[in-house]
Amino acid sequence: MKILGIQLKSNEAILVVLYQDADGNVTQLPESTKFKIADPTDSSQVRQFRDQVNTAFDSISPDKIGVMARNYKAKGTRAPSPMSFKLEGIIQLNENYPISFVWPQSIAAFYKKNKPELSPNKKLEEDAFNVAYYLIQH
Amino acid sequence: MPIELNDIDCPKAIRTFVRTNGDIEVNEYVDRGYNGEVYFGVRKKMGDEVVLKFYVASKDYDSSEEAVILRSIDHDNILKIYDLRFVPPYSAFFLSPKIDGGDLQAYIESNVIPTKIALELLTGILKGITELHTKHQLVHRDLKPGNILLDTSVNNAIIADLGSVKKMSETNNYTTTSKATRLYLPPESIIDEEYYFQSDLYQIGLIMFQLLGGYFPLDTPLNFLTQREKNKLNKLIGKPEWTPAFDDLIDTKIVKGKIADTNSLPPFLDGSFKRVINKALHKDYRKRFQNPSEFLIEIHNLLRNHPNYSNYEDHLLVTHTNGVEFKLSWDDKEEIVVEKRINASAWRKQNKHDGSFESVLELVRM
Repeated sequence: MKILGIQLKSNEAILVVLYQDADGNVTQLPESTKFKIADPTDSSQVRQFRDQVNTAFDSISPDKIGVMARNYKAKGTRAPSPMSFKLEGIIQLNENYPISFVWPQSIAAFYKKNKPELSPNKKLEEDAFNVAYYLIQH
Repeated sequence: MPIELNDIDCPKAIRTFVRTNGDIEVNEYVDRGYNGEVYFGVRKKMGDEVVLKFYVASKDYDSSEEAVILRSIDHDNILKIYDLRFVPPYSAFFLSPKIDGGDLQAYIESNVIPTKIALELLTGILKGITELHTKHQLVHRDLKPGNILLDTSVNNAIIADLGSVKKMSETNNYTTTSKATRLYLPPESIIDEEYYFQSDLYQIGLIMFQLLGGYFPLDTPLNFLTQREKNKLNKLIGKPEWTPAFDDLIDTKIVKGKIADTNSLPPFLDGSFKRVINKALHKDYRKRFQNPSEFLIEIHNLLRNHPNYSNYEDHLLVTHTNGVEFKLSWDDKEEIVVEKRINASAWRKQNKHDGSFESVLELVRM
């Protein structure tokens, strides 16, 4: 089973792919990657982001896709970047794979009872890893 | 009066078929040699222009797994197959729409291709190959500019010539090599007659190399050889050993990863273009891009991080997305002349360089 976890921060989407074999062993696949829109006013970059997301989903062919949810009602310094909502909308437009949202609180509660067997290859992809690891168990 | 098709060299079964089928008014024939027999015509009921391409095929090819999948594919970057049928004793035809822009090989030979257009065409090819690879587990096995069609109305590349398409084995991660054009065969096909998903990406790397102006003398393949190699071959002129000896020399170049020398790319393309091509063409398929998505991201990075270069016969035009353009030309003394304009205003000479090509490039890349 392949699970794709996604974290959105600022103008960047980070994808982590976890694989669980028949014996239940979980590994992180090298297909983990990241995409961004450097200039949101450039329509060609927005289309490129869409194409990158769609071809990545097709290339990975995951069984589940999850995005780390952000509190869209948060205000001030806690408010998520408006750019990240643009990325999120483009990802949701993919019609070939069901995409679920996972709240950080759900992951925190899960980790209290389940210590993960592995950690992400890179610290900066921790949220995407956590989403994928959570979904592999749910 | 019936149209004379001049297809006397075509197998009789095909000639009979195109004259007796009731659905298509065939009006032109083109002999594509090893690439099959091609007829153009009009569907009588629909009124649209179509192409019938015949390939050598085994019995019942039209009910093979590949044929069933190909009929079902509906993607902007893959040639739509309206019909696919076996014609006894050893042919099958693909019925598809006629695409107005012709193939990419002819386009490369007769047009200046700006880097932006080249990279956008590559994104189309990569999106098409994603569909074949990941949704259908198919490898194309014969990707080359001659097998890519061009819809010029939207600058869209369409993968065509699907006669070599093969379903990937479920037990192995490779299949057998097709009888594709030798110059485009990846090293693993020469060494072990194996073909991987990454082998298609190698062939797309070669297309990229050609689109960006790399030296690839398809019409004069002897020019792939060094003078020393030519001299060696000259000793065999008129002997039956000549062809296998030539093939061996080409095979050696492919296996050593020397069939496409990125140093032959135009000098205005910086190292990032070479790095992408070299990665796609790596002689070890495990060290290439592992899927079309990885390749696509790099193509998009090139599009985002570089101006558009149009290399005309007498000048080089460098266009930035913010409306700034530079024109490079050479005067009678062979010195570089740089001019600049913004938003199509009048050209103004630029002297903020020391006359060397490197300093000019630094200036125009901004």
